[in-house]
Amino acid sequence: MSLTTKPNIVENTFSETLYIYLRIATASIKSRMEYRASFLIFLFTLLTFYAAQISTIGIVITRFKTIGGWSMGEMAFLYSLLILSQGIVTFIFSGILEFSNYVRDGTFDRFLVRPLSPLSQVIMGGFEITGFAHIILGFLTFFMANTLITVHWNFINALVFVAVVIGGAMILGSIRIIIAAIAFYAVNTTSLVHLFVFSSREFLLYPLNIYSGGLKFLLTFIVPLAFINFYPAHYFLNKSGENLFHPMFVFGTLPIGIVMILFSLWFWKKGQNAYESAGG
Amino acid sequence: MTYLKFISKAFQRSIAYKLEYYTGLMNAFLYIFIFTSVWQTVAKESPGALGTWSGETLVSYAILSTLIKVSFGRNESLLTNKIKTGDIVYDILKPYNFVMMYFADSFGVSLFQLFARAIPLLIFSLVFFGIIPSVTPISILQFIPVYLMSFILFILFGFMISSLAFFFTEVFSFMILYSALVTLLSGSVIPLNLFPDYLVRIISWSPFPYLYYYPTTVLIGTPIQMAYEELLLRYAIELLIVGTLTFTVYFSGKRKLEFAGG
Amino acid sequence: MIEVQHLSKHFKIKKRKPGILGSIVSLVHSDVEYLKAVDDISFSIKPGELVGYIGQNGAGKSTTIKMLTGILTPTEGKIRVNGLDPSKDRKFNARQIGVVFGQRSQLWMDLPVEESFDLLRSIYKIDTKVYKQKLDFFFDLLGLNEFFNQQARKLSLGQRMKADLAASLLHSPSVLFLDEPTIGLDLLVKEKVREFIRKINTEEKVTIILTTHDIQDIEFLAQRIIIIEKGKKEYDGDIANFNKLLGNDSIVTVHFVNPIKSLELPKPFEIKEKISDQQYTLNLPDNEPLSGLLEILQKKGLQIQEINRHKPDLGFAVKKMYAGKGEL
Repeated sequence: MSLTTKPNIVENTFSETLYIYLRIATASIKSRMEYRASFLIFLFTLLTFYAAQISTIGIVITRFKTIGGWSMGEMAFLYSLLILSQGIVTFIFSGILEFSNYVRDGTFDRFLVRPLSPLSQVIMGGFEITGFAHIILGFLTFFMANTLITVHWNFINALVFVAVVIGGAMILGSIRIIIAAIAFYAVNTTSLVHLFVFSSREFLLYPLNIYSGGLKFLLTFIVPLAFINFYPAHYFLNKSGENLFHPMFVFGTLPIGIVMILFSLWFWKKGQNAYESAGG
Repeated sequence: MTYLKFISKAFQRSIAYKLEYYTGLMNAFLYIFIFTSVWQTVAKESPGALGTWSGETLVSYAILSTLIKVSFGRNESLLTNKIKTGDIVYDILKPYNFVMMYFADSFGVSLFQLFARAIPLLIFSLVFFGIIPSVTPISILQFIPVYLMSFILFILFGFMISSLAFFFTEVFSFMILYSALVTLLSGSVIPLNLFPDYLVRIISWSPFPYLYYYPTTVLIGTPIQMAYEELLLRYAIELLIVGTLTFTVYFSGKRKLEFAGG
Repeated sequence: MIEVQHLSKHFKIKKRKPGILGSIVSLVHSDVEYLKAVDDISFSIKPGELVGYIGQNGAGKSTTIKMLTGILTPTEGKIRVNGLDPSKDRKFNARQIGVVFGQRSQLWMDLPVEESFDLLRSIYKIDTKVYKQKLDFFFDLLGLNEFFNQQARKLSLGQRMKADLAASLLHSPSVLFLDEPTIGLDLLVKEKVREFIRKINTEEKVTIILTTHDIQDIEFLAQRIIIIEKGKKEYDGDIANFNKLLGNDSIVTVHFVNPIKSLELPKPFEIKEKISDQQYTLNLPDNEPLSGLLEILQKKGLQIQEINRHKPDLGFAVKKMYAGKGEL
């Protein structure tokens, strides 16, 4: 037989590419489930972590009744928006947190030699099933919030809610892509990841109006995290707009999410080009 | 002499990670920011619920407990990586005490963090918040032994969790578990006496408040429910208990390694 | 087929000062210097060639390979692989090349080898019939079927290397880049791998670029070698020619009848190595006849049981070149 049946170089069609990515994603989820005991321990750890986080807020608000004028039910609503978006992001964009390791150990070079987009390979290879734990947690706090406060739900509201959660996921996801792309320039980005991906969320646990003007500005216009839960919450909770820079901000989540994703993709491409010229 | 070299090496290593230094600083600052905002807000809104605290003392608490937290440093992966790769056998064979080396290394990292993180943060906080914590010379003197003992406790905990790597591969998860519990229960964020009563009773039996709650309150001079001498005694007991636990885990892990042939 | 013209690659390196003071300074400022990893290299490779690409660590070997495979963009110069620019047309070019990195597998570690291969089949759009044929070929020549269902993580180094080789050829690439393919393998596996590579090149006419530190790999497989040192091309041509260029000193192995504690020889003869009291390897310079050496030994009253003369091997020649003793 001959190995050199000369291949015509034919690219995969879009749907074929999608199918391949889906297979890679399934493969990565499958392999993560292989280590069942580790997986359960990790899940337990995750839940404990969030329980501690919620308890912290819970203790403060039980004692002080309101924080910045937000009641417990409203705080729970705020939290649920954050965690639901977080769940989507954890599910899809977990692989990208490892990216600086891929650069360091040569795995990324391997990605470059395949006829697929390297970014997609990074993302698809890192689907994280524990994202669902976040989603469940998000819904739990959401239902709890709804028992404490009244929101008048209708079809439009529900649609906006879905749009907000998706937009929030886009904002968080794009931040991860940007931080990962920095690995193209500076090798040890674990602390950067820690800061921007995990720690920055801490701000969002509390309503933005308790922070100083400078911080509010930062979280609205520089790193638009406040659009994930704070601004859209005003819409659902019928809160007055005195803390909003502009009343239209409550609808800003999805548009900003889209813009940020586009920016992050551009930034990634730049980083990849820099890597190919600098060698990492 | 070797141990001094380890300290210096750890110090240099910490400097080498430039990006990590700056972002670590930002991280600590972030927490200070969040909690001072929270305390100032709730103090204004619900002053009745403050108990023995005031807005200013709570802010002091947040700042100082963060500074203490930031000054405690250790090389998280030093022990776990060595166990994972098996390199630990080399360390056990080398002519120094591995445990002492770990302590010396952690001391080096903490020294660095004390100067490079805690002090800049302190200066920044003083300038930014303009609050001078109610620190007196006496409280500082009382603080120092408590601080040192908390540091040893911190190292012991780290060593214990890392030693679990002899038994489990998921040490990383345990570290997250540990740090989640510590964040909540050690008073690194909320002073313990603001907790609901039933929780306070449970937590004061654990070693966690000895990490951040007691050192901070001693430094600020806010009253704790016991005499200073009693606190020192309790510290000694906690160190004894945790120390015994830590070394039990470590040595049984080491023995397991020896039986398995390394 | 592969055209490389005036290829250069420069890197920026940050210099850090030693000691505690130096490291504090480097927190805010570092000196920068330029490193010419690859400096004006040109060569061309015809279809079906098997070229050994040799160089010391840091000589610019892997940098060149990375540029040839599209991982790095050149600072200067031109590369064409079958007419394609590897870094500009990276994805396109990826379909016509195969790459094996000795240190890094392309298999998905947590999956059985079979599933990795199946994924590759989708990625490279390999026709099912062709795919089956190839699998049979690999089962036959590499014994791939013995571990085809095992998780890649659980394979021995030899098995993993065989699987990586097969995986790199699934899509019928016309060019195969092998970077340290035999590193860490035990002797029997090395031989099997070398035979496989030779077969691929001679029977299937796959062009192969091989970088390795194992001289025996080169001797067995390559007809042509390119030697790179400090970023520059030092030699490009036949192996036989290379050995000749580096001088025709031979190596003579002598077995003496009686053991000799220490042997002394007048110049220009040299003792290369004392293997035992009865066996020595000597250097026989090019212009000296063997008879001259024999005379000297006889004059010393030494009885020779056996004497062998070897042409210098590639390893010896390369070492000589690096040591600066040989000039081209």
